[in-house]
Amino acid sequence: MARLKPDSLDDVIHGRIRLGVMAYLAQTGQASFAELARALETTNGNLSVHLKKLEAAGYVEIDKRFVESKPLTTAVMTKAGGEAWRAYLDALGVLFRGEG
Amino acid sequence: MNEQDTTDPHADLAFVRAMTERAAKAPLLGGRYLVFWSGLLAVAYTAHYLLASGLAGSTSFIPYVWLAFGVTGGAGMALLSRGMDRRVEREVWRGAGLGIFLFAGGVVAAVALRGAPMIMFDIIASVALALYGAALLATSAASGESWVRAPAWTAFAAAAITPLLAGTAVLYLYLAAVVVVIGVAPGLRLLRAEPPGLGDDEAR
Repeated sequence: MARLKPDSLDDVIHGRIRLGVMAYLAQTGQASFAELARALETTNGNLSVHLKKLEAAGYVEIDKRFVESKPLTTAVMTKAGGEAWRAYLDALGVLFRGEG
Repeated sequence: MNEQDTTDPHADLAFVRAMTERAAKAPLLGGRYLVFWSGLLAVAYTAHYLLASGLAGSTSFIPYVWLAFGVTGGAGMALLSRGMDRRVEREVWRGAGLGIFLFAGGVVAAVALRGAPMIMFDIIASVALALYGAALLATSAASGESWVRAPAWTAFAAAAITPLLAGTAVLYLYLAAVVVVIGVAPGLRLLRAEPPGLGDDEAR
């Protein structure tokens, strides 16, 4: 299978966990930290690192609050995140066309 | 595919598809709202029925029932502000709630300012049930939870029956039963479907 140099792919999104977060949030809009960790089958620490990268890029917003005395962290895809996600998918499509 | 600078686009695409499918199957999280609002409505409707039918107190207490409903609802929503509904659900329910609120406001204004007949208050329930049914249908379509269509169509049927009972005290007993069937029961089912610990983000 072809291994392509993804120069046009957004480095912030490109990576298994961050790609998974963006794909998930593109569908739901927002999700709790626990929900994302479960869906991605990753550890809390690993997810936290990647969420911070996405937050730093402005692709997600992290909302932290207490609900019923328990901490609840929610990741919300931003408008910029949605645009970056669509651009990423477009770039992925270019890779496919270039491969063919 | 790891955190690397080359990729297998086929693997990327398969992973994106898998995550999208997981997200589409994510559990609905509106159960607590349904249980709270429907339970509160059932209590308010029952109290309204008891007062309107003369089985308890007097009809002069009815406005206080709905005042208490509004105050309790506002306080409850502040406590329940979990903010976890899906985008489509959130917009649909927000729109339905706003529509019901504005219609009720219009009825209050019509009665207070133009002396419109009091029976118009009974029609609020019909409009609310119709909007509620539409919101449930949208939720069903967005989530793929086909069983949600049953309470949706029940709400439509109840909306059609409501005008037939308008002006009678028994309407409110009927509405109390309806909201238990189309609100409390599905709400409890959604609550049971929530994975344990959802919302906890331990070790952060």
